[in-house]
Parts: sequence; structure tokens; C-alpha cells
Amino acid sequence: MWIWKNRSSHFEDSAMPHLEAVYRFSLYLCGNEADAEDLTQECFHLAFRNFHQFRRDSNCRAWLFRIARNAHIDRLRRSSRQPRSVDTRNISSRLDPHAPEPSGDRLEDPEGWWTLSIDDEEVFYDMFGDEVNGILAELPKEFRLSVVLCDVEGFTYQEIGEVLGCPVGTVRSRIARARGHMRKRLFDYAKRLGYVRSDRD
Amino acid sequence: MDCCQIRQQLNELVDLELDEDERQEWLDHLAGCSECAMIYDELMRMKKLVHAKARRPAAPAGLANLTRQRVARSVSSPLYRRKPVAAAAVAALSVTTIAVFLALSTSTTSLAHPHMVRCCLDEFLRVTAGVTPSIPDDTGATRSGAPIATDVALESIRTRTGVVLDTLPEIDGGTFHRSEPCSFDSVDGDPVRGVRLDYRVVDHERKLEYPACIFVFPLECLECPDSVRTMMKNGKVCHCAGKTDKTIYCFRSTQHVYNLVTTLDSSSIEGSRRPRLR
Repeated sequence: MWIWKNRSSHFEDSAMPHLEAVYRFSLYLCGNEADAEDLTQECFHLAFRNFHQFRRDSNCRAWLFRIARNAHIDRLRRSSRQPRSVDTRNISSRLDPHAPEPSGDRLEDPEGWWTLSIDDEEVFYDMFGDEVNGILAELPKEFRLSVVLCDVEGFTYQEIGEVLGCPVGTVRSRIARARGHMRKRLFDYAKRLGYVRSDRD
Repeated sequence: MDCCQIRQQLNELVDLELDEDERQEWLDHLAGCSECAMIYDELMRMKKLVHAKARRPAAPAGLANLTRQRVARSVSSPLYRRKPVAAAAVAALSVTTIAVFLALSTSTTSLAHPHMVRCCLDEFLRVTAGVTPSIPDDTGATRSGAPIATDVALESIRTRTGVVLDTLPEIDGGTFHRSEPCSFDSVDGDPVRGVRLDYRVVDHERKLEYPACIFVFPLECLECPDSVRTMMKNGKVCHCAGKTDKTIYCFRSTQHVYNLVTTLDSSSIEGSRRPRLR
């Protein structure tokens, strides 16, 4: 039994601290709390069973996210459900657990460059703090996940690619285009508030 | 490097994805180009904005404990405990989850190279359960002979594993000519019992003949990893990526039986020989 005890102890130290993050990620994947909780439990269950495959020098959180995503895909396959397509104009917040899934997997490239005439970072954060969640919610799922994994979880492009099962080039492109879209939306928002200095104007 | 090129890749600078030389080169450019620097600053601000303001819903109270309990249940799985009745019951309930391991030896003179058979099962158990198996060291015995009756083989599987099968796993050519008990030690030291079925593969196309054996164990005790389980579920023949010296195939051979076929590259096994043309 010492192997299990040893494994349990390592698992507790390495994996369990990421429970909150895995739950958040599961919520992004599932869109509702009940499924997210269940997916989180399944993820840790699978992670424990396969803990011998975890490389100690790698990012445990990224490893857990990968397991969660695979388990999520497994569930979708099992239930023969496909991600639903819903008009993004009706979405108020992606992290509203009851919010429907955004549609589409493409983002138009941003046009031109513009700058905001807001020098004070605190003002910037206060102004756009609420808006940014709405804008994130508008992004197609894979784009949103790429940005969130990069900016919120601090993953490298390589790790994001492993979690999402896509090449690094795709991650790079998604992040660039997602940020381009976000900048455009923030621009529109700031323009309405009169805080814009743009080369398009 | 022009501004357009820089701007296309400012995200990588923001996300620290560049190596030190590239990073310095681009920072030098930003130091002399106020417009690019401004865009860089805004991308950086937006990254910080997302980091600071993206919602982070807290996990429900109790989720951590529920998760620990679920993990603990896998530790105390009946098949890992010394409870033969419980183990048999679980196994009997899982007729659809039988793992069949086909280990192909590549020697034509001795019927199964002991080391290779051992390696196949060792490797399978390593990738699936992370355990070191202990198989009765009888692999040098002669395995040729008259075919064994199907019902005898099925009965031996039932007796040993508690699992009732309607039919034997399909094999590519030949018939089983020997059935014998085998086992490996689970992580807490209890033996997990299975059956080994021996046969010879006759590949008419390549004019090869070589001995092979299948190991039958209840799947639960092996804790199949995601990849293997997914392949089993899909019921397809496919490669299992990430294995360096071998290819693992997995396919559904009958309605209730899964095959995990492991072929070892004989060149990677010391002392083994490649199949010989007849």
C-alpha cells in the first residue's frame, strides 16, 4: 500500500491546489455549475489514476486542464451532443453559467491601429473592467479559452496548445486575433465614452 | 525589421514567447518608435486587464472534499483489496470490459521468447496501471500442440477472472493451443488473476509464422489510461502515439471483447530475433 500512500501524498501536494482553477476551466467548458463540478471530480479521478504519467518537471495545472478537456470531449461524444450554435448577440456574459454557447469559430482581423487616450492604468481598469468579461464572452470558445489560459492562467503558447490539442501556431494566431477583436471592441466602447485617439478617425 | 512586421508579432513580445535576442531586438525597436511602443503598451494593458478583471468563479464549498472522496474510492477499489467475492462480483458485472493483451513474439524457433512476452506485459501494465507485474516464469514451456476447445478456454477465463464470455477473442490466424493461468501483482501486493491463451500467427501474405499469446484480465484492475480507453470505446484500429519502440493497436474484436495488441520491435529487445521467412 505504500505506493498508493506515496502517490496520494504527491497528488495532494501537486494536483489538489489547482482544484479551483480546474473548476473554473470546467465551467468555461461546460457552461453550467453542475456539469463543471462533475467534470472537476472526474478530472481529478482520472488524474490520480494516471498520476504516474505526470512529469514532475511539467506544469501540473496544464496537465489537469488537458485531462479535463479530454474528459469533456469524451462526455460530448458519449452523449452524442455537439456544442450548440447560438447567436452571440444575445450573450451577456460568458461566465454566466446559464449563458448559451457563442457561435462561430472565426474572427475577423482587426482593421488598422488605434490608441486609447487613457494614461492612468487605474482608470483604464475601472473603465473596462466589466466590459472585458462581456467582450470575452463574445469570442468563439477556442479563442476565448486561448486568451484566458494565456492571460489568466499564465500558460505558455506551448502549454495552451497541449491543453487545447492544437499546434502552437494556431494558439498564436487565435490569441492575436482574439486580442485584435477585443481591442476593436474596447475601442468602440471607449469611443462612445469619448476616450479615443485613433488613426482611423 | 519594419513596424508592420513588429506589430504583427507584438503579442509574442507581450506574452514572453520570444527568446532573449529577439526580445531585445524588438525592445530596441520600441525604444525608437513611439507608435509601436504605444500599441505594445496597450496590448500589455489589455493582457493585464484580462488578468485582473476576468471573472474567477469560486468552486462550490465542499467540492474539494467530494473530489478527494472520489479519488479515495479509486484507491479502495474492490479489485485492489483482498476481497475475492467483491472482486468477482465487480468483474462479473463488467463483462463488457475485458482487456485482452496480445503479445507477439518474433522468434520462430522457440515458440515464445520469454523475455519478449514478459516485456509486452510489463509495458502494458506500466502504461496502464503503473505497476510492475509478476508473471509466473513458465514462458519457456512448449506451446505447440492440438487446439484447445473453445469451451475449455472460456471456462478457464470464467474460473480465473469471474467474467463470462460468449466467445473467444478473435485472433489473426490459427487457433489457441494452450490455456494457462497467469497473474500479476496489483499495487497492494494482491495477485490479479488472468488467463494466457497461446497460439501461432500464420501470416500467409508475408510468409511468416510466429508464436503469440493473449492475456485476459478484468479491465478494471488495470486502470486503462484515457488514450487506451478512448481507442477501446471507439472500437477502431489506431496508433497509440508516444510509444517509441512499439506500436499499440486497439480494436474491438467481438461485441464484448477488446483487444490490445502490442507488437514489439524486436530490434529493441536484447537477445530477440526478427521473424524468419519460411
